[in-house]
Amino acid sequence: MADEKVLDHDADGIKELDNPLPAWWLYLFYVSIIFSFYYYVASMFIGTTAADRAQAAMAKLQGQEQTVEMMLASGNAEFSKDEMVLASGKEIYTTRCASCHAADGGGLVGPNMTDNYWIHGRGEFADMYRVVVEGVPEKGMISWKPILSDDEIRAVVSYLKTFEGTTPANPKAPEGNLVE
Amino acid sequence: MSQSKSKDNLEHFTYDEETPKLFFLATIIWGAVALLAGVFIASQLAFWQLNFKLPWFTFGRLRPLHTNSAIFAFAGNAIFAGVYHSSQRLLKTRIFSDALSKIHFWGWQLIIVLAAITLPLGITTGKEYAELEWPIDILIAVVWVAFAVNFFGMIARRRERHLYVAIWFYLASIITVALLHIVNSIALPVSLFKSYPVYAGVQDALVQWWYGHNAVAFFLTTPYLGLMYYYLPKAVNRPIYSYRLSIIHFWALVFIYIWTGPHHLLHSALPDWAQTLGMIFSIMLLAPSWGGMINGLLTMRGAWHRVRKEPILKFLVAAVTFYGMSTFEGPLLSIKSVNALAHFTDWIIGHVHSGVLGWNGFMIFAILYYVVPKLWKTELYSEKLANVHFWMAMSGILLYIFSMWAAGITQGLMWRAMEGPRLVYPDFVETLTKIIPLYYVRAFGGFLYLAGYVIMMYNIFKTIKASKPAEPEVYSAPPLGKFTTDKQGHRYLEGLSALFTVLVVIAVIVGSVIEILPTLLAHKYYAPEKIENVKPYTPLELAGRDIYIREGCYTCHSQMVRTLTYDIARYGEMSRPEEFIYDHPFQFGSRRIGPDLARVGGKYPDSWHYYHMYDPRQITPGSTMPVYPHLFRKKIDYHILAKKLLVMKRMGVPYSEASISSAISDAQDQAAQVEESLKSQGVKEKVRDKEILALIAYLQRLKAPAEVTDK
Ligand code: HEC
Repeated sequence: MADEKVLDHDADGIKELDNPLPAWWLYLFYVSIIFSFYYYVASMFIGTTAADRAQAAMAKLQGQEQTVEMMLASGNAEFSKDEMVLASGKEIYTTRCASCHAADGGGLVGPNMTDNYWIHGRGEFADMYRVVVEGVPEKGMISWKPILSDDEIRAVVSYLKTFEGTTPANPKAPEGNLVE
Repeated sequence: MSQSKSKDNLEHFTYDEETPKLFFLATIIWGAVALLAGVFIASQLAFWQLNFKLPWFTFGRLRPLHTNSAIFAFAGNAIFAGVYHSSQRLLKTRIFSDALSKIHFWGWQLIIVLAAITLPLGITTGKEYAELEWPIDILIAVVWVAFAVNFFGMIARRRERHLYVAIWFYLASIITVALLHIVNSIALPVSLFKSYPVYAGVQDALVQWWYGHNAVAFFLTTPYLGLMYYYLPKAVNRPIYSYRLSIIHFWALVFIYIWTGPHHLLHSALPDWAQTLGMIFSIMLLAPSWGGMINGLLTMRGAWHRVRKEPILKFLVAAVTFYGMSTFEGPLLSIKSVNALAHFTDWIIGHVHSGVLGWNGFMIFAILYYVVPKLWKTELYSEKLANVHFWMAMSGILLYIFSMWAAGITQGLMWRAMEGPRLVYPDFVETLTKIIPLYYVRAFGGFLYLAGYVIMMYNIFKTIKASKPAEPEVYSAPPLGKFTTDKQGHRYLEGLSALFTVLVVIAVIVGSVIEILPTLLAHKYYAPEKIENVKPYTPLELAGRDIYIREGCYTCHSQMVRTLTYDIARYGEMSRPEEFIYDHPFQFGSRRIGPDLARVGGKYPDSWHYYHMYDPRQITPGSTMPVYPHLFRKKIDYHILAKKLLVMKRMGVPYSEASISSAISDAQDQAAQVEESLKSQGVKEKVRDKEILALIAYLQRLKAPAEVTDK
């Protein structure tokens, strides 16, 4: 420190030393500049936009999934009878659906699940699946597609099937068409 | 003016100590307000009940009050105090004009008071850190000019030929802030309390973040580097480590900083070329920023043993270290892949607080402890209390930063977790409830910082009380000699203040023009088939949008589905630049305390929003969103709508003459439709003409352009 050169400039008593730029600092600066130019030029030659790439990545992910849609298309989508699946369906039903359809399926805001009357379709797996996925926004039933996974929707729809023929505490009046 | 000449060619003069004193006092008072507001809104995020049921107490309205008071009241007053105090000494001249100093001081305090009144009332432009409405913006410009004249007047009357590095930084700050403020605030007024920016959508976003980031740069960084270059060597009594480093890092900072704004818009609908510029210039900014840190820390060589004892040195070391840390974190966060994780999370909140609490706050505390005894001609009341303040503030910051890192990274990881095309945590609240405990820690950290601050207030109050009146000191110096060419290189330039100023202006203009100009022109180049689908808001939707802005919904909600698979999976079709062309102002947001709303239209029935806005927890247990009962009481202001449409039309939004003249009845009709739909979904309360109808209409309109149907 002793042999450092003090410049002859004085700013309200503040002196300045004539030390060189620290080498590591200078290299850091150079490297960041070189990297940046390289990165920018390289990015100009990618040829696709970030939006295109995201769209493609999404399409690829969607392509990998064996969806209920595919099962429906090939005609082998059915209610599950697996106990594990039904248990998880029950849990989902209690937290998500019961506020509108009552815990025992008797219906509150939403229709009664225990009777043989169906507003949309005939109470088949595909019918119920569709309603849960798409929702009936004008009646207040939301689309659960953004919230529940395919497996979860399959589970809760399968659980609905178990209400068939049960007697709820306060059954809501039938709505829709009678399905024999 | 108290000036006289003696025989030995020395001029005798006094400094204006009153103006810096006033600004220092204002700093201390407003700092308490800013911190208190901060602790309060931090608590609101942990305990939603603290939003009460008062409109002006909700998070969305108080957060701008907190940010504005921290930046412009606390940090701002400290800048003015320090600049006036140090520049007089560095330029060996009294502040240019006593009258301008008065205008500057009282004008600035008036602005702050007006901000503190208007922001809680919901009078806001909806652009972050530029929320104040146009009459206040004009006042800011006027007061800033007073400051600039005072400053450049001092330079003109200086008795010291060569400008010291602190003055370079002040000069660059004053010029650039003026430029930023004016360009970003250009707006057309609708009324005294409402205006729309002339820029729309992506343009507006770019201009805003060019402003926003450079408020960080030229309000919170360069002035403080200037202050560091004066107060640090003064306090440690050592020479500046490297004059050459000062030069290089000054010019590099001034030139590079201005380009970095787009790093706030990574993965957004902003064109890729601009995003990438924002990223690379942020990376190139690391070394220049660290240049300041190195010069500060190495100047302290030989004084390290004093750090243990002296609180001023503690604060200085910590401030400079926090500066180094946050200027490392900044470039890191600007790397696109890191940003994808961190953007919209609390990591960013932690980042700005290490800057403002750590760098600006600690710098201010060091200066206060150094300067108050000097200005008031007395001793610091208690060094011990100052040490206590240091440790409380330090623990507070660390709790703050660590909790925000943890919260940000946790939530960021949960948002992006995917199994195939599905989200692992599709429920947004689940990602929120997970981090609530960290919000307790953050609020406590903020509280500690505030408590330490109160101790400082007490300490300084006692110090000032013990002061005795003293005669003003008389200084003497020879008058400014003729400019000579005997100095070489940069010293030569330092003698030429006008040329120096011109070079600074060029340095900041280059990046600004290259980034902003193409974006301003971009609207002309959108393919017609892409904008065909984009329709202007209906009058009622516009009314709803202005409610959204008034309530500060943008402080918690973004409207930008990024070009990332997990954003698309969670929110829907990604946002495109064209869809925002009629958005004056843009509402992309910067933090997702709640979910993105760009595609919320049509997701839920009207009644869902009705109940949700009345009490979010009735619909979503665990939500921290405030309640908005006043929207169910207040009536829609239909009458201003025609005027609003007219102003929009002037800015190029294609409203026809007919739609403007029927704006009021159109809005009433659409409100009646929403009312009808609510009724059919079982809503029983009377809602005719209530603001909630407009807000619902706006929320239901938020969807991809192709899905917007005519009402
Ligand atoms: C303090 C932060 C905060 C503020 C301010 C806030 N919200 Fe929210 N908002 C949330 C949170 C958290 C959620 C997620 C939980 C929920 O559904 O309530 C949410 C959810 C929502 C949703 C549901 C989104 C979805 O996709 O499920 C809408 C719509 C909404 N908010 C609208 C608004 C509007 C309009 C305003 C302004 C009047 C507003 N919010 C202000 C925090 C906030």
